[in-house]
Amino acid sequence: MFVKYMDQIKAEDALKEKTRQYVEAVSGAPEAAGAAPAAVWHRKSKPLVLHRFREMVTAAVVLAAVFIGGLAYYRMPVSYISLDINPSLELGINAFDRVVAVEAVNGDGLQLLERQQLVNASLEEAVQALVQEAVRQGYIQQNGASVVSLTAVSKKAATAAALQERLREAAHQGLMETDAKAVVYTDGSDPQLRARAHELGLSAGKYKLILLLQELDSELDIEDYRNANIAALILKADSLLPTSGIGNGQTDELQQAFRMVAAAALEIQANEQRMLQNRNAEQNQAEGSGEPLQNREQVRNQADNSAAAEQGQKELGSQPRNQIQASQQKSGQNQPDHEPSKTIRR
Amino acid sequence: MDQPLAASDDISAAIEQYGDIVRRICFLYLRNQADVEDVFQEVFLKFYLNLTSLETEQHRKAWLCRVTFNLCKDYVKSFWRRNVISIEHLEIPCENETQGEILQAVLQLPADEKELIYLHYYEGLTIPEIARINGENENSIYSRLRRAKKRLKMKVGDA
Repeated sequence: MFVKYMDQIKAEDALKEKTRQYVEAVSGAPEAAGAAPAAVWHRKSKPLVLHRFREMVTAAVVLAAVFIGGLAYYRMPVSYISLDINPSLELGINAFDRVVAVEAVNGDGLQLLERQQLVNASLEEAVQALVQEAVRQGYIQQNGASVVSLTAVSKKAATAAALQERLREAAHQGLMETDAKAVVYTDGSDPQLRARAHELGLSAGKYKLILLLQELDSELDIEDYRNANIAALILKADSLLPTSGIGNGQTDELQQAFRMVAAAALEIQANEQRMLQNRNAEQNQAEGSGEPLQNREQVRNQADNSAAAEQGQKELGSQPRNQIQASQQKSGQNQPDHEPSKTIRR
Repeated sequence: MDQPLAASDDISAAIEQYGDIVRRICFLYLRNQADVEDVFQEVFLKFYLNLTSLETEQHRKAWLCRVTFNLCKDYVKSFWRRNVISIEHLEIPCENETQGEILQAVLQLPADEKELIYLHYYEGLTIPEIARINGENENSIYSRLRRAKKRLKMKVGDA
């Protein structure tokens, strides 16, 4: 039956005629009678070869476009990290959280970047390497009163917030590995602020702090703080915080900024105080071991001093800084037990 | 007949001689008159360009079947056709409904099985000949034919 059906299918005359014309047109036939088929083959094969060549070229172009597009996408920073201690520098981060651009914003930043190979490193690796290098080059003070400021710049606030958490972790990790102590201050920003900061030759992080200072003191000149370190900016802002307290007639954003500054200042002072206590305890110990003991009372006093100092250190040391900062931010009016003599105005 | 064909007369003769075979294979695969025309013309252009290497009639016929099958499959696989051109109504020259069902069942078979049914039952090629054309093992052709027949039986039975 199948054969019977298929028998009915025949090439239409029109189709045959069209095909004959097509073959003749493409091949250049009709040929002179007796033309060698071999010659026909060589000459007529050209359109096919051309066809293949065109396909190959198209494929190559598409591949090249995909490769170049992919490379451009990889190399395009989608967010930026501004790192300020006083060396100020900026890292461009791509969609895969890899460093694709590194730029020093001031001379110290340039110094910090020397001998550093950060391109293609992950965000965390780069921050850790930079913090460690800052410790080695002495930009982070021994008394723990330095501030490492990390500002995530992204179009999306949620991305910036997520980056901040990772930056904080990475900075603490870097500090821990070098056994150094510093306050880690993280903030978020948008690309517009970064652009304005660049126009002024500043990093986004430092510019945001200077803007905060100007908010507190409108007569303040940016130039006075261009070369200041972040710790000085934070302490200055803290000293200018409104005596009437945070929350009266201020925007939520400003209130948040004030609280962050107050918490960071508190931590700086706590670190300073703790270092001072440690130094005193060491001095007392040195004096105690160098001289004959006078009486039992003196021994007890020295022991108490050392124990108190150690206890204080443990309490502070055992609590991660970000927790301190977080708890301070949450606590609002409450003052922590280890708050130094200075009163924080809220 | 087995002498090399000469230019335009030869291609005309070839179209007359093999046109129906090529058209039937196109019918098995293509649902679109424009595609049929494209494949038909392409096949004969290739045939013309390969005249010197096709010495015997049997060789020419086998070569034409192979090339037409391949071109049809390429057209069916083509992303553009699969996604852009809608399938036109198939004109099946059937005398009654049962015949139409059988033909539909054949057309719905997978490409390799459809090809086998055509070559074996219509062109009357033996299994060793088909194996040679396809460059495959005879046993695999046998088992494919068995599978195709089973599938056809099921389809026609269901209908």
